[in-house]
Amino acid sequence: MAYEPTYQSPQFHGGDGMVTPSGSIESQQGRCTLDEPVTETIMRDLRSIGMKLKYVMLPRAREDKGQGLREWDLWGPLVLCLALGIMLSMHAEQASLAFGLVFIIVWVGSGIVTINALLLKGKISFFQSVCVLGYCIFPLVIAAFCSLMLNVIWLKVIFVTIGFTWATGASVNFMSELLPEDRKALGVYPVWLFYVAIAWLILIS
Amino acid sequence: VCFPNFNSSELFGKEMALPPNWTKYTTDDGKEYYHNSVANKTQWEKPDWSEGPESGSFHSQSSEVYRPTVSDLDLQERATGTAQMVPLSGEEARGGKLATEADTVSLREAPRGVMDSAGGGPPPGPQSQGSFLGFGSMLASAAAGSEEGAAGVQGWAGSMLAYGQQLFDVSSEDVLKRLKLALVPFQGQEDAANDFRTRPDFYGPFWVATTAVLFLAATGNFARLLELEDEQLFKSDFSLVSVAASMIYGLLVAVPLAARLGLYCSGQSVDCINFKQVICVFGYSLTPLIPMSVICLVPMGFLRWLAVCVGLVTSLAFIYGTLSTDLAVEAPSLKWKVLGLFCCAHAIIFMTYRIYFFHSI
Repeated sequence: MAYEPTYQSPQFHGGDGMVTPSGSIESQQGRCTLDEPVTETIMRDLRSIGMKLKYVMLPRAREDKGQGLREWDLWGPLVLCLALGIMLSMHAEQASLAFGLVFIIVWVGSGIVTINALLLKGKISFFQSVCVLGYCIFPLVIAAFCSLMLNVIWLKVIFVTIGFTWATGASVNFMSELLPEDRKALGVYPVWLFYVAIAWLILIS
Repeated sequence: VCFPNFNSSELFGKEMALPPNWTKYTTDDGKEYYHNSVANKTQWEKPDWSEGPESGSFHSQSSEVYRPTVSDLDLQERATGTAQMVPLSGEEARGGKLATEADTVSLREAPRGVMDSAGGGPPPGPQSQGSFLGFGSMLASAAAGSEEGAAGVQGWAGSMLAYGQQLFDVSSEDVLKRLKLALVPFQGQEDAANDFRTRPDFYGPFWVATTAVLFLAATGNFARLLELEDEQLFKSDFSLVSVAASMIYGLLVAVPLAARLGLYCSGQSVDCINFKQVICVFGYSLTPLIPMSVICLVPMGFLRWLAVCVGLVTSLAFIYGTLSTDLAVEAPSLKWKVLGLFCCAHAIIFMTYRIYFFHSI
């Protein structure tokens, strides 16, 4: 099979073997993606994001510890973070502060949680971990959307609790698997704290 | 910004026996790699039978490329330079890749600087073979850097990571023990002081501070919600988060710095106090803030004041118990000044919380 170099502009992409920076040595399918229509390029990314979102919601994600998110990309977390920020700042008094807080907590928070795992001698890839933490916010985004629709405090609490439990399921398994034995709790606690912070933000808006 | 991705190469071999001296291993990720014990070669591709045990030779000098080996995943092994040079498989050497390699060198250089905060610095060269050494090792470090973020790091970033890992070298039981000590400080003072002196850690201070920030802001907001007559009127106050964060993180950094400055000004050597221990103890002494903030949810003024005072006394007792003997030995003239500094810092935190975060006194 002859290989043609693919000259494609770099994308926000991980390891699915299709996208590489210009002048890459190899591509798994060997096709030139320069000729395809733009919609096809965009749809491919959107489909990949959609697939990962669906994967996060399924119970299978909790069992196989997030293996479906192996091919990381950061578009999904960005979209989720923006959605959450917009939803939470819509009715807030200090809208810009709320939006900024959501952004900071999601990105800086997942970065810090990952660095913490690395410092505890975990065998983690930085961007894959940020990707998993970002995608697992999806249940909380759904809970935020539902609680935006209804203003009853009881239902809000229930939705957010369900979303929080769902979110921590997959990501905690993912994180604890890659840490040394005697430090699993140390690495998992920041993940839990991260989702508690987001859940709290949703609750008080 | 782009995040370059480096594919692991396709395995061309079908399922069949390996040539002599080749063994198959699997990484933790499930990838398979092959090692030749005679020629001491490691590669991702299944070896074909044409490569005999004498294959110390490569297909051609110019088609060599550095392949990341599993030993790259381990920082310790990296130091001994177990990186290997491996020939490109025949399929890849065809097809004129070499012409584009010069472009990819410069292209990969730029994104790599943006990509990984841990990546950076010139990669060390493996045993030199051929002119593509620099390109190959840069590819390798970039590849390893993207695949295994920290484990593939080289140069100064790697040593920073190793230094950081020393500071976080605690187990779960250690941290739990220290937290319990911070909450109930009147037990086992001697071993506790020794423990903090010999093995200070930064995990506790950082995460206790972060948890305290979150709890202070959350309980402050929640208490305001409870106090309001009409729930619908509640507008959350996000500035409490910024106040709590700047207060706690600021003091966590400023107090040891101030102590260090005081040492410097008083003419004594700055190294006589173990500052890692000081930061560690100060961080753990923030632990009583967390239960105290939960107790302060109860809307009784008297109970809140009681909780604040008990928390303050506990923190100070903890600091005194762990640091006083060491300070007396290391810097006797400054002992009370340093302890007084801690007292002020804690008083600021607790009082600000009680007075500013809750509207009613």
